[in-house]
Amino acid sequence: MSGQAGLSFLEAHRIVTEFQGGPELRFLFALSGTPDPFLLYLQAEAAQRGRTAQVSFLPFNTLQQHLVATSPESPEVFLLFPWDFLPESDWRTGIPASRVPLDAALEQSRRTADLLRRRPEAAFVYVAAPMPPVTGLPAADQSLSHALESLAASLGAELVDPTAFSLPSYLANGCPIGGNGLGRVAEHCVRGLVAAPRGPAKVLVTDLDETLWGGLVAEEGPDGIAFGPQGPGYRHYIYQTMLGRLRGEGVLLAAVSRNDAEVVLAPFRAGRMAVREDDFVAIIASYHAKSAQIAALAEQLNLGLDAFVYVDDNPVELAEIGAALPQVTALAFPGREEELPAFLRRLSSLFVRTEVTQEDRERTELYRRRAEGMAPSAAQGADLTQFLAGLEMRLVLQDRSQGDRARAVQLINKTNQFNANGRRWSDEEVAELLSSGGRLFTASLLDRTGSHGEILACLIGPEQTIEALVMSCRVFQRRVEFGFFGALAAREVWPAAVRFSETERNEPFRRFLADPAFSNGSGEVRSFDGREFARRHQDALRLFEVSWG
Amino acid sequence: MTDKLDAIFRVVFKLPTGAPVAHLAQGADAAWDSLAHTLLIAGVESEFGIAIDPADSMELTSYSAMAEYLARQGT
Repeated sequence: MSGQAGLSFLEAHRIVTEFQGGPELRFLFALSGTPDPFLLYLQAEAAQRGRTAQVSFLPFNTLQQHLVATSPESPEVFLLFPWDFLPESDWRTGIPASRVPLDAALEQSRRTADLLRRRPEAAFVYVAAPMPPVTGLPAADQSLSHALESLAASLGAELVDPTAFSLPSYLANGCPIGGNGLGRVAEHCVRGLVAAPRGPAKVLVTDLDETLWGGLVAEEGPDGIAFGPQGPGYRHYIYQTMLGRLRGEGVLLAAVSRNDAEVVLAPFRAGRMAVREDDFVAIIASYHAKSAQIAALAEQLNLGLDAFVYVDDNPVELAEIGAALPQVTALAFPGREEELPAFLRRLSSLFVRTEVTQEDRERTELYRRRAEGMAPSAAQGADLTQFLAGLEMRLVLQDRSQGDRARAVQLINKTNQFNANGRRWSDEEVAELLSSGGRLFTASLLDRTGSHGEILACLIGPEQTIEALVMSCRVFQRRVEFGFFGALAAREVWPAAVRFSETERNEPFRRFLADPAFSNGSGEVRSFDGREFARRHQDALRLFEVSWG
Repeated sequence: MTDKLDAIFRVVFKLPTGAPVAHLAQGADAAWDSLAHTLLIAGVESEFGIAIDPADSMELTSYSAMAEYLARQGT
């Protein structure tokens, strides 16, 4: 059950106004009360998932008729309250003239639940709102309330904090949710709809860093990440044990990561995690878009994308999947322990198995053989340009040649992947270079999801050669490096060269260095043509609003 | 407070940025029907983190009444 705040009215309006459009998400929002105040929030929640909502409503107070008289023509999300199961408990009709016996109330409620169960593709959200005294006996009323909640849960409904219900609003205008709760309830509804099962899912694809384990394995190493049943690893340990159970029931597990294969395999091969490498049909490590990795996996396994569930902690990755592969059910891995129960309930509901056969238990091995020999995905990334444009990225460049440079030095000394040469610099060495005419620049990235902080550092020597260039792996695939170099190229004097050295882990930088604006060759110093760079990457540069801080 | 309230009115009545809203009142504006009133109340509750009693809601029939109400709430 969740009680977090959702979008506010003006936030929702801003999101809808700025949204550039995406695949249609057509659905019926089935509510027995006044639905209109939800519209803006439903549109905003869909937009946040890269979808354009096309919402239809039921006429006021016709939910029961709808259930009896119609078959679903489009996806549906039902926002349910106790009086949808038992009309006698509706505040707007007053207290029943005579007491309703508990047995009769339960029987009536089960009949409604049976009608709802005939819509297996619908999503259900239930608000266990307080009820008026229906049975006349406080203990029976309480039992009834619990029974209704259980009935809703048996439908797979997501349960919403009862405080979302607003009796004043319901009595004043028929909308059972007040202005303060519309955002969070709409979030539940759209999330439930997007994640609504189309038959049990078959494949669970998981992100690795900050999801299967805590921390970034490329930066902290296999010994620095957290996955054990203690401290910061507990959340990830519980998730891993859940994956183990699903795997035993025949669910195929796969992992995708923007990383080098050997780096992500190291924690599996250390043998200390609750899941093992051979629990997975594929562990894909590449620097392509995750949507491309998942699409390639679906092709390899010969399974439809609607059989896939994807779990990631990063909202941007989830949005990318939502935009590129709307058939895939994307779930956010919880950032806090208190969100874990709801997450696991949802995950469990997507992989319902009434019976587990021997074939189910052996399925992973069967598919592993099918996927055998699958190289790290070489699939071309989906066209990210449109998606990235929708992120409204802002790159704020700072000249750190004077003043505080602690974060820049820290970045230079902890970043492995997008790192021009792997050299570590002490603060004294940086100070010495700067005092001899060098420059230190950093870049911070902001987008519509918030700030990513200072994510790039570039140390330039007095001869205009870049001596250190690093970028956090958190912003891979954003084309930040192109934005940054474009901004440098726009200055009167741009860096003449980059000092490059191949390291075990700097494959992402090597890919960037392959750009024709850098000279080929085997030497350490690779020249840079800023004019050529700007000419070649106008599309990428347009993704950013660049400013100097 | 005024900026937010102005923005809510502009969204509900589909007015462009910067359009004046202080003169708006139920009865004087055809667009201020019961649905618009519901949306206004919900928008104000959301943005100012308050719950408006139905009796108060019925009195909030103009921009100025809404602004005065919010001032009394200390928002």
